[in-house]
Parts: sequence; structure tokens; C-alpha cells
Amino acid sequence: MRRRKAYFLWIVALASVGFLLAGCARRQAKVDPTPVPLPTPAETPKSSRLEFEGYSFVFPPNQEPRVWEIKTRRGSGGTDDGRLTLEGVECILYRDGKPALRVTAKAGVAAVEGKTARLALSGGVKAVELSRHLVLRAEQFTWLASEDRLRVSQVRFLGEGLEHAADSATFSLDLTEGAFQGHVATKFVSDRQ
Amino acid sequence: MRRFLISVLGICVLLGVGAGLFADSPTVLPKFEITADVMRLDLKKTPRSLVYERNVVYTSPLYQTRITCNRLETNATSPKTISAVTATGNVIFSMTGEDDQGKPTYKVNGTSPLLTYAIQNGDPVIRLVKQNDVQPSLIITDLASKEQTDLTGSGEVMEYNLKTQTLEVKKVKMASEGSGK
Repeated sequence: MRRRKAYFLWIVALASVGFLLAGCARRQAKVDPTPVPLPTPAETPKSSRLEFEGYSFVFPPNQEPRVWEIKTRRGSGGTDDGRLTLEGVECILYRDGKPALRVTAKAGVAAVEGKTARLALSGGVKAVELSRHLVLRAEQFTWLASEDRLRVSQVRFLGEGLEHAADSATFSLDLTEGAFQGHVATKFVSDRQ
Repeated sequence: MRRFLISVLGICVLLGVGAGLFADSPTVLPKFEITADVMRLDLKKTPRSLVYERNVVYTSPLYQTRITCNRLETNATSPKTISAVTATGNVIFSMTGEDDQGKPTYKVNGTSPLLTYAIQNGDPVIRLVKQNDVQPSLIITDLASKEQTDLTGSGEVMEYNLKTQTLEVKKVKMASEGSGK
């Protein structure tokens, strides 16, 4: 009788362990993430993404004073995040509604959030100040309309017979005020250079 | 035939002159070079202002000038020239004077709390000024004889004309003013 009781207890114990393992296994299966199908381009709303070639646009549109006018060879962007990725950029930046700086670059991003505008350009950036013909060359160029300041890196600035080079610099939009930092070097250049 | 040769020669001369006028000039030796850690530029000011700070080095082939300091400010009389520089903070300088044939004849070395280097009446002149009880130092070495003239502590303001090799000392300790060569 005692032996039967012991066998019964063993059977109950083994069954419990079996149920426990089965339960764990099921729970493990539930934890596995089910693959979520990625939205195909066809499912993406067409109004939020656009790609364009030979496009030009102004900001703000149909409103004064103008902040910038950008022409791009190719680009893409979304209306949801207000960012446009640009290739082959040629733009004019305005100050007090008047053209101040003509800038060209290999690539860039124009971002607009509310009333703030930001233009980040890279690759062989050249900026020419339109009234005094001051020339700025840089590898990175960022302009924040709210600050009215340019931030540039790997900069070379030519103006009034002098060439200034530095690791980085900040400028006013008319290039008449600047602060250079890191390996600053100034040298005299002839008019023809 | 002769006319033809003359006209060809004339065209060659004109082309040569044109090429000389419009070709890019070779890289010219810079009149000066300034290096530093930081620089501030203000072209709105008249004259324009360039201020260099930290580890400043000014070099110029004119009189082989070299000035090192903590702060250097430029002054300009016209948009494309820098007519004077004012250096402050641990100023160390060296210059080499030349004779009429351009042969180095003497060397000027020194230190000063404040130094101004300017072109005055066409001559390069350095002006050393005492500040905070720190006297300027000026040592002139004759390169032929190696003879040295130490003018350290001669006065609170010393002006040395590199072309005429004339030293003018102002605010001398004995309350007198003098000049010498």
C-alpha cells in the first residue's frame, strides 16, 4: 500500500514537471517576436516623400522677407519631417530680404521646422559675398537662420588681399565678422591668386 | 616676304606681351604669415581689425622678421595692406638687418611686454614699451665682428629703425631723452 502511494507521488511529480516544462516552452514561443512586415514603397503615402531633379525653391514660400533660394540638381525629401536632401546645390542666402551670399556645394540638407530654417552643406562649399566679393571655401557649412550665423569647418577665407585658413570658424552672413579657431594661418596673397 | 616676316614677328611680340599680362603670376613669396590658435576678424571696422590670440607667430621675409607672442593685433591704412602689428604677452622677436646689396650685416633680438612693428616713412621701425615694471630687452649683434650691444633697460620706450639702424630711447631713467646709433 505504501509502495503504491510512493509510485503515485512519483507519477504526480513527474507529471507536474512535464506540465511545467510544457508551459515554459509555450511561454518561450510567445516571447519570440513575430516578424512585422516592412511597409513596401507602394504602401508609403505618396504625399510625404518626393524625389526631384532640376528643382528650385524658396523659403518661406510666397512670403517676404525671403530667407533662401535653392536650386538643386537632384534631391529627395519628406513633407513629414521638413527635410530635403540635396545634390549639386546652388543657393542664395538673404539678409533682411536682400541677397547676401551665393553658395555652391556638392551636397546638402535643407531643414525647416516651423519658422526656423537650417541649411547644412558639405563638399567643396564655396560662398561668395555679393557686395564685397569676399570668398569663403569650406568642407562643411551650416547656416542657422535664427542665429544669423554661419558655421564652417576646414575653412579658407579670401578677402582684401589676405587669405585666412583654420580648422573651423563662425561668420556673420555678410562675412565681415568672423572668429577662426584651430591652426589659424594668415598670409598675404596677390590680387591674381 | 620681308613684310610677311615683320608681321609674323609683330604678332609673336603681341602674343608674348598678352601672355605676360594675363597669365597667372607664379606663387609669390608671402609678404608675411601669421599663425595662431584663435583669430577674430572684423572688416566693418575702419581700418579692418585682425586679432590673433594664443601661440601667435608673425614671420616676414622683410628683415627676416619673427615675432612670437600671446596676442597680436594688426592695423591697416588701406584695405589691402597691414601697416603695423602690435604684439603683447611674452613677446620675443628677432630681425636681421641688411646692407644695400641685401647682405645680412646685423641681427636684432629681444623681448618686450609690448611691441609695435610698423612702417614709418618707408622705414621698418620696432617700438618696445615697458609694462608692469617689465623692461624691454634689445640686443644688437654685428654679424661680421660678432660684437653685441645690449640695450636692455635703457628706457621705458625704445624705438629702433631697422633701415637706418637708429635707436631712439624715451623716458630714460635719468629723466632725459636721447637717441643713438
